[in-house]
Amino acid sequence: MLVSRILKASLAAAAITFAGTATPQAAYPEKPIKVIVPTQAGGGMDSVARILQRYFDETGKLGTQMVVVNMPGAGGTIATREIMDSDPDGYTVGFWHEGIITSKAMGVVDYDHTAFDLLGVTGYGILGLGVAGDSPYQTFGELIEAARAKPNEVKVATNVGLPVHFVPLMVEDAAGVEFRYVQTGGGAKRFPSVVAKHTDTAIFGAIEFINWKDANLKPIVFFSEKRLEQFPDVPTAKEEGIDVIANANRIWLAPKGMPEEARAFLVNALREAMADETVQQQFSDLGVVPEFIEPEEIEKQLDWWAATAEPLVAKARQLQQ
Amino acid sequence: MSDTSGRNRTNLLLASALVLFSGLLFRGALDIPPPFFDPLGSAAVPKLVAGVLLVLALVLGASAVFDVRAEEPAGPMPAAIEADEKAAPASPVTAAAAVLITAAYVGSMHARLLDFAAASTLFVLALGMLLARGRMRALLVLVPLALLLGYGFEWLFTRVLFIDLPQRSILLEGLSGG
Amino acid sequence: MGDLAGALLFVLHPWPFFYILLGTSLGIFVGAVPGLTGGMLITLTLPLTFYMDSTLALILLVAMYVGSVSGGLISATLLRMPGTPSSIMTTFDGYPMAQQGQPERALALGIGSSLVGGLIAGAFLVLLSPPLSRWAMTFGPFEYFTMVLMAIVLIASISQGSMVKGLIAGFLGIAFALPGLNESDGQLRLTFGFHALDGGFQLLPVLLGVFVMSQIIKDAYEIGKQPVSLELGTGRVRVSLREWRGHAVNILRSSVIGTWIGILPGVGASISAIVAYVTAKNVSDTPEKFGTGHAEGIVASESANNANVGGALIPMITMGIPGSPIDAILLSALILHNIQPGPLLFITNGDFVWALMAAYLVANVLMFLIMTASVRWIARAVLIDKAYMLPVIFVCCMIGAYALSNRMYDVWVVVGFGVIGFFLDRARVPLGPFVIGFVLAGIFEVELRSSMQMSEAGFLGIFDRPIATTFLVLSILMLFWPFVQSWRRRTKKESPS
Repeated sequence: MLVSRILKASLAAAAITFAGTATPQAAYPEKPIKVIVPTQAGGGMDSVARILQRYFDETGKLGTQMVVVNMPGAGGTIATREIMDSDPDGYTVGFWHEGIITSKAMGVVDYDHTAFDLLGVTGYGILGLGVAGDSPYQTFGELIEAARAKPNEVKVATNVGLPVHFVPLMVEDAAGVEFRYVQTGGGAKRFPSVVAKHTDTAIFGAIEFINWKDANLKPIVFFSEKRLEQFPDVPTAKEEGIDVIANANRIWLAPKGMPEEARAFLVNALREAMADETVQQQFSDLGVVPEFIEPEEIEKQLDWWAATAEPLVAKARQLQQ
Repeated sequence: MSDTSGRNRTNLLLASALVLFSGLLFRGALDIPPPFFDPLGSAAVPKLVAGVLLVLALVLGASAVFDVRAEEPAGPMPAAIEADEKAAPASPVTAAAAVLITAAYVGSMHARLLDFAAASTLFVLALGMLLARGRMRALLVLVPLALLLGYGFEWLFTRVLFIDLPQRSILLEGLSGG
Repeated sequence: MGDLAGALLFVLHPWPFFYILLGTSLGIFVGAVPGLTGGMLITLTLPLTFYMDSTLALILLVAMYVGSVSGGLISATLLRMPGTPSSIMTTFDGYPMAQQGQPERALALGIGSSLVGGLIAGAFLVLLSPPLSRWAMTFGPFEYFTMVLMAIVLIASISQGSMVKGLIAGFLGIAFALPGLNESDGQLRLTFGFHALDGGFQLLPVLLGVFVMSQIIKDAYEIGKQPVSLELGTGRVRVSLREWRGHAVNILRSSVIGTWIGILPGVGASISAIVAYVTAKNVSDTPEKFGTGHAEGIVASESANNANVGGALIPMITMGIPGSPIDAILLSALILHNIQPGPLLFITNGDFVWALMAAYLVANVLMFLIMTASVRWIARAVLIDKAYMLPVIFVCCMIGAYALSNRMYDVWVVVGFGVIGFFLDRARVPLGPFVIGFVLAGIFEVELRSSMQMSEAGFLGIFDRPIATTFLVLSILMLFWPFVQSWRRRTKKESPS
């Protein structure tokens, strides 16, 4: 609600002023830090920024304001390009998911995660394959069996060139089957397509499975390390013999070449924020696993993604007819 | 009679503009790489739309040249209102000036010469005086309105709602000496 | 019915009720002021609702929609100037009646008819939406693609002015939606090397340009036109129940026409009013009285344009296809609030949909009360000076467009589309189909291309889908019908019977 927001915001602003005077002046940060979000206001990605913004506002841990700037469009590339081209002074950062790899692989942009300084990961979403509750394929095994028997006939709703496209491609590769891809768009569009059985399966986030459990959407496999507590009966891909672990990480990006002092400060601030109980609870409510992943660790994961995605590009660019 | 020829002239102009536009669209569509994921590819719909627009432009142009009136049926508007609409004095100069003032407003912020508050204040005064046709009395309302909108909105949006508004360039700030 | 009752109770809570009250009042005001439209108000409000609860945001916008379609009758009656395009037919009888010394009766007839029209459409909305959405569940890419095709042909063929210009508007709208990253294969196109165009033209700046900026230019262009208002007498703004009884058939017929035309994708309230007016005139025993201050004319126009609002919500809620240009804005509001419109809306956001419908009904009742109580005050307020209003409106536009992505580029898009919209309007190219084309272009292309990916038989696969085939045949018939008609008329004229 707008009014309550105004109230909360002004209280937070007041709190900041106090916090600002209380903490000793450090060299960095001395002005607000801009966080570029590649999606519209509202929605899962934006919420990540808003939760952290609220945390920093209330605790004053940043010593300054965090300003959220939404730059949706062009599959996140408008925002990532803006982050990349900003001054590397530590006052403009942003975050995105593995699309940073796949956009380059698909030739939309000519840069990937290596063009940025990585600041770590603030939580990740778990991905899984879903079918309609009354689908002829009730388990992952049945789906793969069908795809093996009838190559190019099991229809996968997808959003071309993004992780939700590449993960099924990895499955194809590992299981030695061939799916037929149908472009439908974001999760909210894949959902009706699968539930109304225009397509057979698609990738969804764990939160989508939870939200739409009563609307006939059923997970058959998750690409996580271990089973989810909300869906104890649904196996992981690993258990099914498919060695694919793919999460949707919230990866923090900064323009390359920022001062080490600012980099360390921000990494530390994010790490601390993710250790906060309220933040963890809010992330869990969004279906995001509230873990902080260190920059070095995510860099490794992204290198793996890039190496895995690269050979799949030819397949991703295959004519579906 | 002169009314019909006026309309024909407008339609012919519109048709020519459309021909150019569809040409540009088609030219752009030629640069789109061939399909790789779905059978139709990204160029199909732009080409289709360019083609349809071209055909429509030609139909419109032809009916203007040959003065075909049949395709534009008289609406259900009674004559009195139609006549009234025509009698209304039109001021293309005011319209053009309004666009120019607006462009200057947006441009001054884009070039980061002015921040939102200053630019908006000037804009409200300028456009307001233009539309008030220079009536000095209008300033009584416009000045407070302009200040409220410029500085009041800047406070409301950046301080209360945390919505960013255009800022001045930092470089220029140094030049003007604060 | 339990769902509706619960929703009605919900919208009567203080916050929802406040937003309905606020939306309806603002809607009535912009509807009444010539040169301000509901589309303008709703587009400008949209960015302010980003952080609101999605249900409250949509309740506010729907209330604005209801108010704005109704407010127009005041200026139509007192200024002979439709405050909003949908009340244009009301000027023909409302103004003469007011001139003849009965302004209160004219207003009372308009306000009452608006209420009844709105409520009748509301009944259809509540009763038809659930089964329609169940039916629409079976729709796949072929159905959606042909339905959009039908919508574009339909709106072009019954827009004011020529069909050719209607089609031009529709396809121009599609053309402007093409540049940038396209959804079907995730590749950039038609950016001509400008990175700013990577995201194409965003919906909100385009709407602000077409609905708001172009109107600002138009108002500047017509600045010499100073409206003179008729004075209201001291009589009460009401009409006897006996007179209403005499209008019962007309009001029912016009409301059904309005609802039905509203359901047709893309067609706005002005068309409803025109069709209902012409129908009322055709079946009347005294057609010559229409246009001279005849009560039936006011009743037909006002009940139909309000019924249109309710009707137009039906395809938006059940299929995600806008029933009118303003519904196109509401649709984008849903998407901005992360609510995916479409047949599953009843399942995924059931409470939300019912709240929306309840808000629509309550807004109609509030509209009636507000208008009846404050019509005198509004009648004076409509003469507010444009010199003060237009600059404020553009500053709001600027903030709305800029806040979307924090780029001045989007503000330039507003200015650019304002100029384009102004010239199109001067050339009598209707802007309604332009907006519909722009909004539906994405669905049109994505569904067309998806259907090709899905079907092993290519385009011929459409003939396996009876509903899609029906839509396709209907579109072709509608496209050629006006030509057949004019050819028949010509041959009739030529043959000396």
